[in-house]
Amino acid sequence: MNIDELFRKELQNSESEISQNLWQRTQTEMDASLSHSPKGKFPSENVFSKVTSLWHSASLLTKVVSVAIVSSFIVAGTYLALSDADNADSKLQNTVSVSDVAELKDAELPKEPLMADTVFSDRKNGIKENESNLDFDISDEGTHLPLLSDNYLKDGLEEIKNEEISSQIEIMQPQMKTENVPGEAHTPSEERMADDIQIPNYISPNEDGINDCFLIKNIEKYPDNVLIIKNRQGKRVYEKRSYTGEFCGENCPMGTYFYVLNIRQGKKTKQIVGSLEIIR
Amino acid sequence: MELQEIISLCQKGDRTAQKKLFDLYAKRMMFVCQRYFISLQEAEDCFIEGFMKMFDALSSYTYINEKSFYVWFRTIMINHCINRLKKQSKENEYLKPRDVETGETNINSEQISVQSVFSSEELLRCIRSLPVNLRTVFNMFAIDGFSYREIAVRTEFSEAVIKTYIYRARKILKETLEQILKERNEKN
Repeated sequence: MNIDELFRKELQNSESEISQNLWQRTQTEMDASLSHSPKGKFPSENVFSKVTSLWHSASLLTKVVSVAIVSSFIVAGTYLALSDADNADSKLQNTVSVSDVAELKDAELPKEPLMADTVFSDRKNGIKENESNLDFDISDEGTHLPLLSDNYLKDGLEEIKNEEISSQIEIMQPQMKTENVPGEAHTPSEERMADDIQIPNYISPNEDGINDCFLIKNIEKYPDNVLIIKNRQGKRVYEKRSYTGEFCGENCPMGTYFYVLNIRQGKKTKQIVGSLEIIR
Repeated sequence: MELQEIISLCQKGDRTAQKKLFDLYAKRMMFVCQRYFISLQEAEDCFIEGFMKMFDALSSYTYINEKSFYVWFRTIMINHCINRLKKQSKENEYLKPRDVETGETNINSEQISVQSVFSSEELLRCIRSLPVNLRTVFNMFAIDGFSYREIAVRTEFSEAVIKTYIYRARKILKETLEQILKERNEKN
């Protein structure tokens, strides 16, 4: 008899014992997945359609009262109320009938009924934005002005001084280079920090004394650092807190690796990423 | 209760019907998982996930007969096992073809004659003694009836590698079976 057949016949429909709590676990997993399923999510669209249909079916009094309540919140906040010019006629009717109701009920629903047919618009998107907020906008811009003074110039001078060093940064950060150079002026503190660090992009661990280990120049000045080295599959092959040059490619076959070096100095942090070639 | 009835109740989300379906198929499905995974923990995780997949897919299932439902369910379970192994292979170093010489593809030479009867536990033990690559490929090919091409697509091995794996698996299995026979003879 063929081995395949033997196994197929015996094992295709065989049974094995299952542990007692397995159904329990399946059940809890199923419950957990149910609560995360789309059906269980908050039905935001449904809520809106429900609210609108309720609104259409609601009596005038409820409309007025609810709008009065809502508008009292909104008007107090950052919204402007604009009257809807197209429905001027219906507005007139509404206000009249509302005042009737108000008389009957002896309730004090005074000026708010005017809001019954108004459209609320966000101040930012509203038509009247430019008129009402003109001077406010200017004052807003003004708050940025102090930032352009002394510090800004100082940073600019330093930038010229450190021109040589910035070229080193480019070597260290092959992936971030294109993104960060234009925005350099905005994040001067991060660029300036730990810029004397030099990281090689290859090592050759063959015990000939040259480039045997992953030595990072000046890393000993920044003891608060974390180095992570990953292989091309994203698997961590090395991790060290306060790294000082111990990694010599142990258990790593030849190939390309990627490193992430996080340095912290005071409150500033800096991340340097790059690739590392191991050649044997 | 008829299976059709149970399934239609399950489609409505009836918990007791789901329990019945579970009881009917749990042992057979667990065996599938144990063929693919050695550790009980992994097998059970895979088993639970497979059941949840099945309950999800059940809403679009139309009942034909009991046999077809079993095959359908088993296919889901097997696919889930393979996908899970595949996922692991990305995280770890499983299922990566290593040191494979594709020369030895003399497949039909392993037509051995086995007179004695083996129990399913013994055979399961044999399969579980195989290394992970051989076990997966042999499981797919010999027991679950995948073709070389299908296995190649699913595992991303080349067909030549798969043929070699199956040949090696047969060789190891033959040796293990012979050893079991020897042990039996010694006992007697």
